[in-house]
Amino acid sequence: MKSHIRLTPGFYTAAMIGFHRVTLEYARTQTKALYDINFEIKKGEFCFLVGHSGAGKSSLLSLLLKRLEPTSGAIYFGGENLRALRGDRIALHRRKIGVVFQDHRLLKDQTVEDNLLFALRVLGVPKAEWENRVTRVLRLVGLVHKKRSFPEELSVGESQRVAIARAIIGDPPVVLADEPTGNLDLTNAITVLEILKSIHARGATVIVATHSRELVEAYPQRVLVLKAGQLVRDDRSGKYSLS
Amino acid sequence: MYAISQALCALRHHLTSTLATFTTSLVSFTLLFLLGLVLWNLGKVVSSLEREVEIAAFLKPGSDVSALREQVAAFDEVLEVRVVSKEEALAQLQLSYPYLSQARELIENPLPNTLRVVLKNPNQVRAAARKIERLEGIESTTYGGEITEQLLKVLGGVRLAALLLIGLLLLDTLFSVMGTIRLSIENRREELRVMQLVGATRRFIQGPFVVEGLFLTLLASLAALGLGLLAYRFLAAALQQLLPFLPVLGTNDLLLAAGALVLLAVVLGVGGAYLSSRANLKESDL
Repeated sequence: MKSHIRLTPGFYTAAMIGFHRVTLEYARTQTKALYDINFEIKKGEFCFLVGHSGAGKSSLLSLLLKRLEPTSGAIYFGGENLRALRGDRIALHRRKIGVVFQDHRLLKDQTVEDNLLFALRVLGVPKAEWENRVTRVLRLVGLVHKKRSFPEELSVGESQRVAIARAIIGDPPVVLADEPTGNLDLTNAITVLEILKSIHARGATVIVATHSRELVEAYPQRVLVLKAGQLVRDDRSGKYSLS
Repeated sequence: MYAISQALCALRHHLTSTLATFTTSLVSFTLLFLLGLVLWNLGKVVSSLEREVEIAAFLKPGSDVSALREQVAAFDEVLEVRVVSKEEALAQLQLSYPYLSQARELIENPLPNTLRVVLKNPNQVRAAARKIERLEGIESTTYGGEITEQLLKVLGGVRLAALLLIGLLLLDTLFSVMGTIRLSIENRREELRVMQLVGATRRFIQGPFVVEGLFLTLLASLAALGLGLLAYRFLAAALQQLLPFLPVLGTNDLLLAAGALVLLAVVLGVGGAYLSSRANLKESDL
């Protein structure tokens, strides 16, 4: 089955993110995770990536992070073909992407503040900026008062908000969220979505992989639908419903 | 600074492994240092023996002594030629064995006239002896270098065995460092995932591990230097009391050996840690 989405040649140069006939096959198991994927996402767009478990959402995000190499096709990020990236250029590419996972991946033996400082140190941000940045992102996620808490002292929702704070502390132009509300109740899920919306409102390109109907309906935006590794729909109507 | 603090943390965190690697390195480096010094010293002893090498060329009865002396003295490699007449030789023999004077009246002097040849370069002793032997009027030659050559052969064998042992010990040290670093990586796996996630460069990630490896082997080499120098000084003092003519290594030689050991420790520590961190830090860990 071929993808329904077709793009004009050279589309990727104008887009923030571009997938051009991307196929991904896991060599070890010889299973195809993605088939002939084509789409573009413009700078500042908010986009949901929906599909059931195993549809290929995480694989697609892994390709964007250059954790995986496509078997064929090309992925463009800011006009640059990711295939050309080698060595430290991969690390520099990742600095342009803030990532949030379902399992937040906070360092358990470090406080909220230290988790954020850890990211700043890795990013090479000058020390003079650390305090301001930490306060700014904690204010955005509403957790200034939890600065000295350890992850085990936080609720699941709060942990996820810290993970978002860490993802955006380096001011990346793109934020990827892989099932960010998977472990959250509806109230917390909506809080997380509100934070992602405010990040979007500040100009970032945001991609949220989810299978939560509530989330998609709470913020009507573009929806890319993956089914068994294929991009079957690119809905820009704002009326897409998972049901 | 970050790499140093992380390395110190890691060393404290898995103290048992740290101590195991430190001890392995300490034993390896101490043995390496001591064996190296002993071999170097033996080499010096052989060199000093070589410097005293002299060829004795025995002349055929009736040969022209002065003509042969001039012929030998004309060789490029020869520094000095001295004639020892058969009478002189016998007199020297009688000094060593006085009872021979009684036999002197009964038999004719059996000793030949001899040329004692000192060479410019003792390494050429074998070739020079053959060259002299080929001259008309020379019966045979002998030189003390035969013993030196035997010594060199033995020393070569000892050196080979020592090098093999040292090689194995150094390999053990390298693998031990790699094991410790691997453990460090396992302990920090979660942190490393986050690092890769937020865009840490490979150098930033590997830095603390390389510093950790460096600390381990550098400290071990410094401790080994202390132990090795102490042991060598004790050995050298004992040896000089017993055989005062034997040369021992001077301060400059010891400093050179110490420098070489520290350099080797740095290479092993940094190299082992780099290899281990490179092998164990995979992109798929993200």
